[in-house]
Amino acid sequence: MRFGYTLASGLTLAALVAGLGACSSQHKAAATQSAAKESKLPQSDAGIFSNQYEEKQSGAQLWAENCERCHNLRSPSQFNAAQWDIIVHHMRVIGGLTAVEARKIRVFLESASGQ
Amino acid sequence: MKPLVTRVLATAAMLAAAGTALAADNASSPSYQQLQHNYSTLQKQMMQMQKQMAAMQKQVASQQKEIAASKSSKESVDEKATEQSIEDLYNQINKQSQKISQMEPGSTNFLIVGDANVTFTNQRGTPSQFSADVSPIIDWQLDKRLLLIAGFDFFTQGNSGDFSSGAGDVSIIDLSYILNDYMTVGGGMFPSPFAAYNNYFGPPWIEPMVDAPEVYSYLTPSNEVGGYISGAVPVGPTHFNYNFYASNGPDIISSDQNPNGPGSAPGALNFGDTNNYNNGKAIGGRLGFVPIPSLEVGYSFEYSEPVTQPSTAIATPFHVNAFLQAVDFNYGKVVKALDGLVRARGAWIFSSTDGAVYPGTVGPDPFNGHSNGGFVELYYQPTLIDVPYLKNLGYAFRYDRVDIPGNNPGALHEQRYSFGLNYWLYSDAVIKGEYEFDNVENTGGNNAFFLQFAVGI
Repeated sequence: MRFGYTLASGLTLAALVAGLGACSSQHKAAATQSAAKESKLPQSDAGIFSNQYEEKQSGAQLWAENCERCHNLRSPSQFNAAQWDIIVHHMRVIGGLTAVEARKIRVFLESASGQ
Repeated sequence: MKPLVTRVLATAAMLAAAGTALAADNASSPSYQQLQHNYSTLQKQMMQMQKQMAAMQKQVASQQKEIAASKSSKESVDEKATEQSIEDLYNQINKQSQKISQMEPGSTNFLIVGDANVTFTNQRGTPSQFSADVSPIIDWQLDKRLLLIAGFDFFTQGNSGDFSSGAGDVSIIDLSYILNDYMTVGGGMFPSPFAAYNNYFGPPWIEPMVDAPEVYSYLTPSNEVGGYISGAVPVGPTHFNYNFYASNGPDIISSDQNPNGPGSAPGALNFGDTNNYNNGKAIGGRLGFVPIPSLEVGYSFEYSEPVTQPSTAIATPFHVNAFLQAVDFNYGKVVKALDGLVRARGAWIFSSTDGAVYPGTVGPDPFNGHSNGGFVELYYQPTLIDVPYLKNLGYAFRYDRVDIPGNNPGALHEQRYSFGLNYWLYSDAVIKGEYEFDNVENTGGNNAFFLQFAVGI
């Protein structure tokens, strides 16, 4: 294998990732008040990466921001609470959601589904 | 009652006056006797009236007692009736609860999602054709941590026009368990996280174009068969996500089993075969970074030691090292300044395999095992404008290319410019049109027109 080529392509990719990451470092997202219901969410299993930023985000906000990045937002009323529970579990496994994001999004969708 | 009191008071006043008069005149007056007689009479009358008054008071008290007793009894009856109705209500609720409990399937949850599409393809060099595809995904949540995802793909074959010749595949068998907030373990056959596309954008109601970027047909795995760990870790206002896996990995295309089809140069990796022909496993993964909620960037890698498939023509299977890398990005947000939804995504993949002289090829290193390819895709939909129909229209553009080297017909140098138009009936139902300008080195390429109706289930 030509390691020079591998090294060069690896460095190029690392530079691209680092550049994109640096562009985002100035971002300051606005925190919103959590819904009262969401404040009663269960605590993290491990809790070693406690994140105040995530705790301040509302479920609706996390839902809109994270899901819309890849696809259109389906109406909360399209599924009932039990179905949203499964869908959010599915998306947590394949979609790279954090535990807090998944829990808040699930609580929001379950309450917004109206069922 | 009132006249009686008045009379008593009047009598008392008269007695007082008489008493005063008696005291003034004293004895022997001729009228004294008469006055004394009157006084006695009045005194008797007053005593009589006092008796009557006491009797009447007694009677009134007795009546009040009776009324109170009667009222108390009535209230008691009302309370009993209320208690009875509440008890009936509880009984009804309990009965309904039991009925509902009997209808529940148990502690597990079950859901069918997925997608379906009907597609018309008109590509230069091949007959135009209709095709249809339905890809149900069964999500079976055994509990809050354990999830089975089973995906299937049923589709018509070619342009036979006969659904009985349709085919089916199992596309996903993914059993996962959430260990804690930061890690999930799983295994089976799952969409490859390598270079993001197959895991994130594969479904036709998510991808604005009808076909996938060409590079995903040649240089990347679509599925992995193996095990993985995945998860996400928040860091301040950002978060990282990861998915690392060990899988069977690809094998190598050799000239005797794949006669130099485009993009199938001898020595290129074959991701379509999920079997493993040696003990070397592919180790790979993707590390994603979400600096802001609307943007994700990722780096992927996969290292494997593939061999050629066992065949009679090759006595000793070729064994090479292969290393894949990719970088990807994905942005999606409703931008108020642009009155709509903006999405931009892309990836570039680098594939590096050892060179070798395969049967049917010539020269010391006929296969230059360094391929690359990628795509950039832009999408805009004016979702915020207040114009019916127009706000449901989305506009897409994609540039993609793939370069697979080699001095034989299996080499491929292709680039495409695609223009797409989406009309959204619902958030997960879309009619898509796409025209694709295709340019293949040496052959000219085959432009194509696609029309597709796709839904998310």
